[in-house]
Amino acid sequence: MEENPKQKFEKIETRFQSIAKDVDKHVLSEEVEKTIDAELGNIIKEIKELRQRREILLYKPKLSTEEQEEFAALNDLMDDIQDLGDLLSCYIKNQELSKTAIVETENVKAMIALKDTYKISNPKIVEIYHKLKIEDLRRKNPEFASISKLTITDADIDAIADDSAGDNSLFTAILFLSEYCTLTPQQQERLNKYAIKCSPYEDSYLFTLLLSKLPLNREQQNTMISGLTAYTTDHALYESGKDPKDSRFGGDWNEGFSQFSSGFFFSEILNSKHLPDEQKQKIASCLIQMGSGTDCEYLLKTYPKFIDAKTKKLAQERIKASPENKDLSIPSLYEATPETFKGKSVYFIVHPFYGPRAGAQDKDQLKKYGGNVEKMFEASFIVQMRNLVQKTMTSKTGLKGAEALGLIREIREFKRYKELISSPKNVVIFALQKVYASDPQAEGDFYNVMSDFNQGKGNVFYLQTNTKESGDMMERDSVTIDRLIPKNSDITVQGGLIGRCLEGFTSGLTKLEHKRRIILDYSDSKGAGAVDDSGFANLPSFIPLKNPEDIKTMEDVEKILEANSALINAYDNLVINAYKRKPKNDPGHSDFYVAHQK
Amino acid sequence: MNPELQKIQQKIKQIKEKISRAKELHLLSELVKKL
Repeated sequence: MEENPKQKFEKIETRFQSIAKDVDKHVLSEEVEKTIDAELGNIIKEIKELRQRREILLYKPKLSTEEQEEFAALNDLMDDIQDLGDLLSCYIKNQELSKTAIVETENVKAMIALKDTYKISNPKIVEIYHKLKIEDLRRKNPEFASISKLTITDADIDAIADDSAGDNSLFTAILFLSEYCTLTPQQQERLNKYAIKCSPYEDSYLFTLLLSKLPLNREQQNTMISGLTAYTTDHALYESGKDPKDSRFGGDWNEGFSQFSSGFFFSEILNSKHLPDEQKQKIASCLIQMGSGTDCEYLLKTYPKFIDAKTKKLAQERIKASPENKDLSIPSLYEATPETFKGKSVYFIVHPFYGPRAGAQDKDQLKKYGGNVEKMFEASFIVQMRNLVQKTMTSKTGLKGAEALGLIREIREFKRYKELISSPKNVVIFALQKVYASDPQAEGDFYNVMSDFNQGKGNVFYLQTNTKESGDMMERDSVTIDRLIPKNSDITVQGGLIGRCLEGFTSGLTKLEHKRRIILDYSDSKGAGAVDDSGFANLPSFIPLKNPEDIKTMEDVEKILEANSALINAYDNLVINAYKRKPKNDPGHSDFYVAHQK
Repeated sequence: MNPELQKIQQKIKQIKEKISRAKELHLLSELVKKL
């Protein structure tokens, strides 16, 4: 049976991948080993340290003049490291092709890995670059030059585009065809036409990548930039708690731009050879509007040329509003030292449920309670419980258990976090998932008030990370966590407003260079993604126990919680069982950590 | 020596110089902070 174009395409791709795998076992001549290896070893040691220093400077809110100069020097150095990695990769490949001497050294491998990790950290980019690597080999290796020129007909392009339509595989298909096929100008144009039909609502990340990597004409660029701008507007509406104009936004809002913190991704776009500066300015404006405070800082520092005065002002506002730059009474994890963690139990609280609700419980509110955080929270719990009971009384059908869970979880989390923070035996790190940070102001207020339980102990930090459901973790965070937390430590992860971020963060931790035992505590997770809505709907009803006017103290609140122990247990079992049902190799499975013991 | 290796060595030399410079600047930043 004749293969269809997609099958042909896949077959060739598979063959390239297999050849690339063989060549991955690259080799070096003895000459290289003698002349450069010793020096590389020394450089690697130095670079690791300097790279960390650069990361610290990069995310520092303000740099002194001296630090600015140091930052520029480090940037320059990193460029050279990148060049050296490229030279080595190229040399290795040529050696392989000419079948010369066979010595591979650990230093050279480490050097290339350093270059690769420095530049490429996003899995999608890695995938694309893997293909680029194949292309590079193809050019250099006469053995498969005969198959290297992947020519394709118009019908093939249409068939591949049709096969890929409807999900984001169309984006990668266009990128792949554009980069690896010998296309006539008409065929390139055909692909461009498919590209401009793509929507950022399907995958905003790949959409932006397409825009920067295809040789689009001005009009086509404008079409795609308009799409990106509309998406950006919806992002802003979402951020301010309003409904996005395009209904597709709701399901996909956290999919693409959360990956923007990858400096490499910014570089792909803003160093694009296809886009003129004024188009890059428009795109940079979108990136700023959707990026976190740290993204904005990075863009302002690295690409000032593409940021006009209006966008610069906006970037500065976003930086100011970012939790990292709020007047926080707890320090960033970047200010901790390995000494901080010695002999301590380590807890990451990932996007606490409390965050969005803490807006009303800020420092002004605290004054009303004589600065006593516990009293302030308890007063809030009493009022909320009174309202909940009132609602139960006035409802003809009573209150469904799920409707009471918000407050129950809130009280429980408060107590748990207070206990963890109060103990000097623990180090507690609040990990804010920026993609879910709908209200960074409230998040910051929450950190501030919780720090009251930490007075003088210096054991609470915050980390604004970029982990999302897929478990991507910003490289700077991985490096920092690896550097700070002793290699034989256990790490407990809990929190998780909706569950998926908890799994994502845990998955990120399992990829640290030094494996540690990771313990998942699901007790604060809502389990979304694991528990379906019908599970919540079948929970026992809420028992009010008292009249609203009889709820005066925290003891009254506690009694109501005790009366609802069946509801609380049913909820806990629902969540835990849902996680148990997940596949064993899923970071959401309750035994997942066992497979990742050190 | 093979020209590719020469390039690699040249790059290594440049990097070593830049590492020294970056370290000096770091020390300077720290010193200024203490003053």
